[in-house]
Amino acid sequence: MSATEHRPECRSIAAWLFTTDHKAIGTLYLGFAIMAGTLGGAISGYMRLELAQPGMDYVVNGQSWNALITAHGLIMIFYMVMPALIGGFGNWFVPLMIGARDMAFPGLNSLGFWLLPLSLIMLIGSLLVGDGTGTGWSLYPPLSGIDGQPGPSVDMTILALHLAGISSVISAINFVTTILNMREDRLPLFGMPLFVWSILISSLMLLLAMPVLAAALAMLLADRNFGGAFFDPAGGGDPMLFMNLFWFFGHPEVYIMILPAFGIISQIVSRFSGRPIFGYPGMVLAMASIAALGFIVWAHHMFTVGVGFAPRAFFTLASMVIAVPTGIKVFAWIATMWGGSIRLTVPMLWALGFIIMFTVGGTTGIVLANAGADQVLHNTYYVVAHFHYVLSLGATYAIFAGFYYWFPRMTGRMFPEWVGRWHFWCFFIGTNVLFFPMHFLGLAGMPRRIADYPDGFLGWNMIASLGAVLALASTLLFLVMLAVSLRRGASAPRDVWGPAFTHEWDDDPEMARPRGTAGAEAGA
Amino acid sequence: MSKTVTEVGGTDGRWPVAIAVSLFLLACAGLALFHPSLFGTLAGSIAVLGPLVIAAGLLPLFIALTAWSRATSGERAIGPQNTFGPRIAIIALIASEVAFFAALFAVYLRYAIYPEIAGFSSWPPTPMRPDDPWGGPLLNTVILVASGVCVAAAHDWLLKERWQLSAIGLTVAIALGGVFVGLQLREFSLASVGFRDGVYPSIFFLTTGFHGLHVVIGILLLSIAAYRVIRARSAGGAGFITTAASWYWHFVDAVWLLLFAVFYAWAS
Amino acid sequence: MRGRGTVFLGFVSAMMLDARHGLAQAPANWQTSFGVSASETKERIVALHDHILLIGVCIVALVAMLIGFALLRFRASRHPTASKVTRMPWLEFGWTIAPVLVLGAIAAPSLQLLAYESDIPDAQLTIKASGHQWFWRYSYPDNGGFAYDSIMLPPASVPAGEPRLLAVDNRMVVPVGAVVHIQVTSSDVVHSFFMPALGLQIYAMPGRLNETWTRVEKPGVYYGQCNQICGLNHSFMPIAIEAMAQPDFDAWVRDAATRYPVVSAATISAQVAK
Repeated sequence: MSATEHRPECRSIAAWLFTTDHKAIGTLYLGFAIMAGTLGGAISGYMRLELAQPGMDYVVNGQSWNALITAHGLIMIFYMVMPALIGGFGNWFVPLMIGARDMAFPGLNSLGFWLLPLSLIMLIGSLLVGDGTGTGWSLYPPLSGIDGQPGPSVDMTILALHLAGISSVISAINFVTTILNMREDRLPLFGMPLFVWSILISSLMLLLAMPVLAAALAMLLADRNFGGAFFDPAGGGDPMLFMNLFWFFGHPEVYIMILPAFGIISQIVSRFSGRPIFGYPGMVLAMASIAALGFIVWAHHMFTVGVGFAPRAFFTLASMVIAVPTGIKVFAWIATMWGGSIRLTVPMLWALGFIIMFTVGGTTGIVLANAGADQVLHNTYYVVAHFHYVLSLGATYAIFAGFYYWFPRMTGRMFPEWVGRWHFWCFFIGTNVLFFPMHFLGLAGMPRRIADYPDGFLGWNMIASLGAVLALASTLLFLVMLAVSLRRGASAPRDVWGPAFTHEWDDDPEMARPRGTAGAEAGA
Repeated sequence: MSKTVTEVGGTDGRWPVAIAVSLFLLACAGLALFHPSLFGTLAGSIAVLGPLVIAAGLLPLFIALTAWSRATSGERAIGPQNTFGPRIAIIALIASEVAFFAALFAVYLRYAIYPEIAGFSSWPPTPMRPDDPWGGPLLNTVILVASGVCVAAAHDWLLKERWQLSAIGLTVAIALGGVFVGLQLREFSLASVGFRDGVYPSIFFLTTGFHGLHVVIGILLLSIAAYRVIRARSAGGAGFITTAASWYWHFVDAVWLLLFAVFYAWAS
Repeated sequence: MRGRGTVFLGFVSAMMLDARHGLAQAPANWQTSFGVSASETKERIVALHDHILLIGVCIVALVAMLIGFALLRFRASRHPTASKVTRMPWLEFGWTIAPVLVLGAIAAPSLQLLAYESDIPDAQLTIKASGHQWFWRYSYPDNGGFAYDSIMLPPASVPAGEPRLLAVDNRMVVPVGAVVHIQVTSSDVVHSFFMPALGLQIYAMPGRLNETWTRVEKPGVYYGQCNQICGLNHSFMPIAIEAMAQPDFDAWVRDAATRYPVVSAATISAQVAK
């Protein structure tokens, strides 16, 4: 019983369906994220297959290609990264870290989760019905308008995003309330683990950013179906307005995804350096200022839409300033290691991979922040390389880091560490071989979102596709390891990683026991 | 380790799932309205229903919400038994609504301040004009502000345990809210321009329409609050819903005042 | 559609063609940085990029080295007892200020470049480029207003030495050394007029007329592609600019004026207003 005691025990489908226990819901989120990530990864594998050589050999036509890239982006952002980092780890560990029995609103928590699979069904439907949403995840009109995409697909995508948005706002309200109101006695805000801080700040950003997307999508829906003219030049509307609204959401969204990753990396670096995080107040302020700056840099996605010197200069400078708090975080992680007693465990490997790769992505971000240079880099593969370095090699590394770190806590079982190391090195090499050459392609001028490319881009595309094979193979290794470890993994004690600085590892049977419907089942 | 947790919320996990499914069905109803042919043999009946299909889509949501509310008296937040938590939640919810309306106002202001970018020489583009602000809209403003005062008074009375006065105040506020919605619908039906007539009517109707929708939601919340007050006859028994509803109502009020100032008074 | 069997042949021939592509300034295999620079704008962009890249490489190297040293020096096996220090105000102040200084060293040349690009010199020639699904229409209002469409050549009819997916039937033609204003708009969805060799990119927005400028320094044929997703054939909407000496350009204009129909300014502005 000792191995199973500290995980939510749901023995029937109904128990999983109706559970309101934060740990069970966290597990649901993680399982959902793994499934959605597998789907999004499969799509990217298919895309790399198409791009491995010139010509259009696999996709039916450009429209279905565009629909695939749209689905890949939306699935990875809304159904993989966010559910894993915020819904999964946030649900599991925020209450445990602050000493709360559960989330403030367990029912809303369940509602927030179950909206996501239903939303994903709607999104997959949009891919299967008609021609698909061939607009890219940014959904710019007029291409996303009724003339550009006449079928039902875009409407289904918008409705799916509305459902996902409701889910996000509900979860954000829940996290904010939980963190502000349910901390254990005498746990001050500035005593909270950095992961809790990161979830709090991300939630606050979600509250302000998501509704702006909802408004923009409502207008797009009205344009498409009720004859509105918000973004239709024929009726006096302006497509550029949609870009502004979209990126006012879109850029904070990027930080909503990366802040929880920062939080996880902070926990892991601290734990395996054997000391509390260095410069804690600076780390909190850095995250807060990244969040605040995140709301005033959106137009760096729009440097080439035709705006004058002053706005481009402002957004250039504001975007570059973000490097300062980001630098504080990287240096503080290193300072935590410096003088520490470092154990290079599997989660620590992933965390170090994150720090280095995120620094690479951050550096190319500085290049892209310059409006002057962006004239030859905007929308090229350089941008694709940049955001995959911060998301695919950044956020995803953090997800794996957190997953390996908390796996013993969540399941009571240990994974075979050698597999974790193989997974890391194969994924590390695979993703770098996949994404690093994209810098070269971008500098050479290869546009993103094209299904076929001029022959001069062949070489690096082929290399990138080889990297994708390795990255996907290592993911497969992870899935197999997961399946085996869940059933046969060795029993893991709570102190499997040594002494902890945070409370989620406390051996508190009262806190570990599940509640509600699931609890009744498990207690029986 | 001492916990401040004193009570565990008794949430029946079935209702959240039901609500999630209802929201999905509502999205499907929207899809059915836009693209009836997607629904195969149902297309005929959907076409007959028209916009009513949305009402049909709302039905399960309404039932699920009512059932959840009846089953659990709304979700009882767990954690310290003060109203701090629910207060944070309502503030967070209103903050997200503020962001939503800020986006709508930003769109309006973008066109109002720079009409020439969209090819207009003035805003609203001639010959469109909003209603005379000092007629119907001013009356609506007075009605909504009056209802806000009633809600504030009702909340105050409730805290002083004068539940009869509180119930009366809430009822008057609900009635005034109803009159407001009626007058707005009348204004919409008499409008000289339609939603399809360009970007000005688009943003005007969308913003005022969303505001009207929020008034309706506010009326529902106030109705629940009034029902609770009358049944419980005490502030403690009525619960946090009265505070939540009154805050929400004040927010809806404030949005209207901005709407009146920007969309009506300034535009003419 | 190509069969699996031709893939390898395609690969080999593409690699062999690179030398010839050099003439036409198309992207080349295994290129690791920018292609040719044919305008001062592009040269300045490359200079700024190289400046930032140098700083960026130093930062990444610094981070990687610090982590590497920490791993060597402070492994649990060599350093069993972790330090308890968690604050060092001077150090934290330092790593906040240092990036500010580095950013200053980037911002100054960056804003200079932006000012250079934004300060449009007087035009010696104005060309309008209008994006359509999926081709570009160029018109020459200064030369009588003739206009013509520029459509990608199907792969089968691409002449030897010209790159597949980049070669077009009618190129945009500009004189070398002249300041050319390019006004960009769209008749349907958003496109992007992207010409890497000239350091040029601006969106083609329906309902707006964007303007940018260039001065091509070297004669030659330069290739770019539509760089904003625009639907079914987004991959097949190249841009080809041919820069020639002024006398050749004048001769081309005389010929083009007879070959292509005149599109009145009113038609163009009506198209923009749409």
